[in-house]
Amino acid sequence: MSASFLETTISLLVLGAVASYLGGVLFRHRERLISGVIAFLALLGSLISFSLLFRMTGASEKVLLFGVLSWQIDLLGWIVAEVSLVLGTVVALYSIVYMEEDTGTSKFFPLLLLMVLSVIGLAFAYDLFNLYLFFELLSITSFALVAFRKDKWEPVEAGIKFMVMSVTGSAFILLGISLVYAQFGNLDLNYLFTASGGASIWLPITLFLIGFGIKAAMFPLHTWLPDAHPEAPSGISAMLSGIIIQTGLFTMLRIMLSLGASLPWGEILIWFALLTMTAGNIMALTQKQLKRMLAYSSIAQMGYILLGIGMGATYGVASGFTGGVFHIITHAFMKGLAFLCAGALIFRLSSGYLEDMRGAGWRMPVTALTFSVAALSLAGVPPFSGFMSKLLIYQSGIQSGTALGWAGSLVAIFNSVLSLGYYLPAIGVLYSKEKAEKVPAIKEVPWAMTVALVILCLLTIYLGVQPDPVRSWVAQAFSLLKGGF
Amino acid sequence: MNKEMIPLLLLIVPLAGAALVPLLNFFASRAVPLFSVFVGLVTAVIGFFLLGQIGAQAASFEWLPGVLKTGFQLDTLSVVPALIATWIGFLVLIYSLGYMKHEENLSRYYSLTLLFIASMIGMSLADNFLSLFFFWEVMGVCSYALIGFFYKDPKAASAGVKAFLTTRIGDIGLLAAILTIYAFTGTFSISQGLAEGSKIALPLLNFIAFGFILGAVGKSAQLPLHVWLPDAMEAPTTISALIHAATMVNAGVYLLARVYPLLSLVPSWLVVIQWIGALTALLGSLLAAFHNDLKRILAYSTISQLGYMVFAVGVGGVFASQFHLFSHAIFKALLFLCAGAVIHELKTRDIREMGGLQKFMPVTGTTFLIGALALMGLPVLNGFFSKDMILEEGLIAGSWGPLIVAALAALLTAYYSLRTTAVVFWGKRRTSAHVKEAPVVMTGPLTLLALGSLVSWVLVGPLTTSWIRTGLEAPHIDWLELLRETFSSTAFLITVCVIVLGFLIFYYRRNLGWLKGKIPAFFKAVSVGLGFDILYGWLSQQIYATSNLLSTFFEEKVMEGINRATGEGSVALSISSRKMQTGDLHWNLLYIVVALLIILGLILW
Repeated sequence: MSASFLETTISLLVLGAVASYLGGVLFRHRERLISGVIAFLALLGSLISFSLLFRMTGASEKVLLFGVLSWQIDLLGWIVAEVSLVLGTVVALYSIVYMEEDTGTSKFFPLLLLMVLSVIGLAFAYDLFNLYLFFELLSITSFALVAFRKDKWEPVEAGIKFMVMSVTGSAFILLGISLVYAQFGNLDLNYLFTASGGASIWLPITLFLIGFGIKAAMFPLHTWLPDAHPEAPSGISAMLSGIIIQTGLFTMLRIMLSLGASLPWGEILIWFALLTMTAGNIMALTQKQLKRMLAYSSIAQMGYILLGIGMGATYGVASGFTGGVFHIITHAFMKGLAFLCAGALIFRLSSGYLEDMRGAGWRMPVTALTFSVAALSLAGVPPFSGFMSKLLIYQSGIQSGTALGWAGSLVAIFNSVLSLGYYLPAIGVLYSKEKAEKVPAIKEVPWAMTVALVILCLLTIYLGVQPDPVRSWVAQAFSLLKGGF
Repeated sequence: MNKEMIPLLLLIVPLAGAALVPLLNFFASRAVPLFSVFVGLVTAVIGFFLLGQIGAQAASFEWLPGVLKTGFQLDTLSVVPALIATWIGFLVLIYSLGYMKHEENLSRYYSLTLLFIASMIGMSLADNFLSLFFFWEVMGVCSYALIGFFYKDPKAASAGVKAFLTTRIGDIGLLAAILTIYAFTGTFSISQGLAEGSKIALPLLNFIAFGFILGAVGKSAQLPLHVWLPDAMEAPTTISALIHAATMVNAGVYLLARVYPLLSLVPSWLVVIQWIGALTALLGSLLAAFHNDLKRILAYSTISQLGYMVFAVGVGGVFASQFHLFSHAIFKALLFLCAGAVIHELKTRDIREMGGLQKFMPVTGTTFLIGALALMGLPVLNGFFSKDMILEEGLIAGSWGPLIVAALAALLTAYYSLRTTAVVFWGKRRTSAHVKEAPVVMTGPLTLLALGSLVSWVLVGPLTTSWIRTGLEAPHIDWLELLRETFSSTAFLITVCVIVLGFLIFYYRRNLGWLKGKIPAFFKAVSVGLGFDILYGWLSQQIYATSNLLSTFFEEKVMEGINRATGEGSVALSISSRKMQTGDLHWNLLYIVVALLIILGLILW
């Protein structure tokens, strides 16, 4: 049963990608609309069939898809994949309007579908080879989408930079996988979990930490992100910041839980988490472009997720893992929302500078209001979702009862305050009384975009006011894990 | 309609009115006064239905399971103040149609007035301490805003602040008492809290009682926190009437009556309450006797009358205190509204500039006289019966000290009531202003209230009946018995004596003029309200200066320093760390190598 739901999801995504491309190519003059609507429907369909899978996920279960693809499904993977599907669907809806100035949109939507597909693959694949395969699919679609506006210089430069660094990371990962294979002769994570106990596998672990750390924008491996995320089309920025970098971390987590039991990887994550969030927040403070600021804020937020997972791994506090993964969920929606709002502003103002957005809130009320919700949530202000997930992370440090745990939580709390230093001015700029030059002439974005914003905004508020049952699913997902699965 | 919803409706209608008035102001600002009166009328009508609900179970709502359940307490003790607020409030609203006609910001006025009435209703019907405290505070806010309604006048603005701050002292006491009860009984429910009060240790009970008394003293303007009430006369006269008769000051007396079961467990505090009440009664009447500002006279008289009610609670006459509260609400609303009519015409509050107005304002003059006679307690007016009942309770309790003080106060009350009426309405005219009778919307409520002052005591029968039916202690008396008992009691003799003496003082006041030269210090002290304001002013100045000094140091040096250091430090760090983001791939790859080395080091180390 569960295999058939998953097969439907995958088929819809793959066939949707093909159909979206063909539709776009065949009807040139309606390229964006045809391609976009097909992609949106495909995503919606797969979202529905994937949601139906939920009732069947519990403890991990092996499935063989299409007779060739051997996956293992569990609740944790389902949660991550579901988030990417929801975000992907909203982004597809948004991009139908947003991409109206662009050419070649018949390639944009299929790439988006494949990106979502690769996240699903990473969520459920359980051997290192499969993981690597989907990881590369994810990377390649990301490069192409970051550099999508290929006739401008900045996106291309950002894309190349992203690619070089990412491929370096992949090389590390591949090397790590080879070493593991050389030592154990098997790449199945279940096998490795039982086999690796006590074995000295420090080199592959280091290589994995670096390789996935690059994807997860861990300081000081984050340098590609502030270039790549802002230069991508806003929908893709939302996807990248919302779920893709987290997927990198999620994959790292899977591998570490299976392989790394004998090594202090959790503590390393805590240290890097504190560096990452502080660096991200500090750098965001003086940014002049909204999307660049949000990109740095993504780095900072990754720090929180790393901290939660590090606490969970080091001290075995459940709220650490729960908080980290719950923050992945809440962050996907609130950061996605923030980027889509930034996109909406750029869509009307054709400038990404905060300076040019002064007073835009009075002309674009929905955008500005939802952006305010996103920004406050990102800063961890109750009653929005960011507060709930950050609270769990702070709690984990304190529950650990150790000096490092307490210090980590305090640094995280201080960082939250610091982050208000750029979120609040951004809101203030939108609601400024004096208006920038272009602002008086603009109006609110079309309904397809505002609908996308409102959906994510409602999700952000809902998860803040009513974190259960989602939070308890996450907690349950972790309690079901044995090793990586 | 579900009968359980009547009290809820009584609360929600004025609240909704308060919320709708500002909205209505956008569309049809001229309809605001009439709309408010309509809301008042609906509330008043619902009030009649509430009468049938006394003793019934009301709907309740569980906000926090196990902690807070709010509902309504519908015994006579709670319903009477709520209905006074409703009906007097309605009359005041009608009267406002005429009185406030030419003022600005009417939507603010009417909205706050409705909220004021609603919060009094909510306060008295509350069945748990938390919602009682909530509405208590809402009332405080409303009083602040309404006393300072003419905010452009610095006197009015500062009077609002003064009222708010002074009552705040009491609020702290009340909150402390409520929280202590919660800490030791685990419930906010009033009935449960009172029932389980006896289990609390005596020292704590002392503290709780002190907190409640402090709260009541602040709200009901008792000694030594009475100073806000005379200043509150800067409010529109209608608001003064509302504060004095229907809302605000009644809250304190009601609170004392409500927690009387707790207070009675600590007899020493009862004695304190008696003395507070008696001394306040004396002080109020003394100051009223020597003031020349019409509204201030009435304010001091309120203070003095509230003193009687507090005294009554102190001697155990809870019913007597509430009965007097009931009478007082009627005649004091009447007096204030009459004063309002006079002030409205003459544009002055100094009684020395009035005189001989009876001829020009016959209705106002006559009704004021009725109010004044009720205030001094002349037989067969409502003030007479209730005050007599209080003195009678004092006699039964045998607390002679406070009783003598209270009787002395009654004497002065008789004097100043007559003096005020005489100076304002009788004698020769001292003003050349053109004076005419107030419009019907103003005289209508006056007439109704005057009638009420004459006959409201007849209601003693039904009041005591339902009082007993809802489980409160009082002897059952109907109006005939009341007549018989009152005229045959010792207290009646006292009342008659003091009234006669007061009348004599009034009559021979010119022959007493030599006194003024003999004891000038006394008159000077009286003219500044016995120096309470000066003392408090000095105290608050000292506190203010000290805290100003501290805050200047703490705010500007310490906190500002920290703020600046954090803010500027972060920005500086941000600017310097931006250099790391070179955008040069070589550097980025170098970072990867660095990270690799760090992780390797950490793992192998």
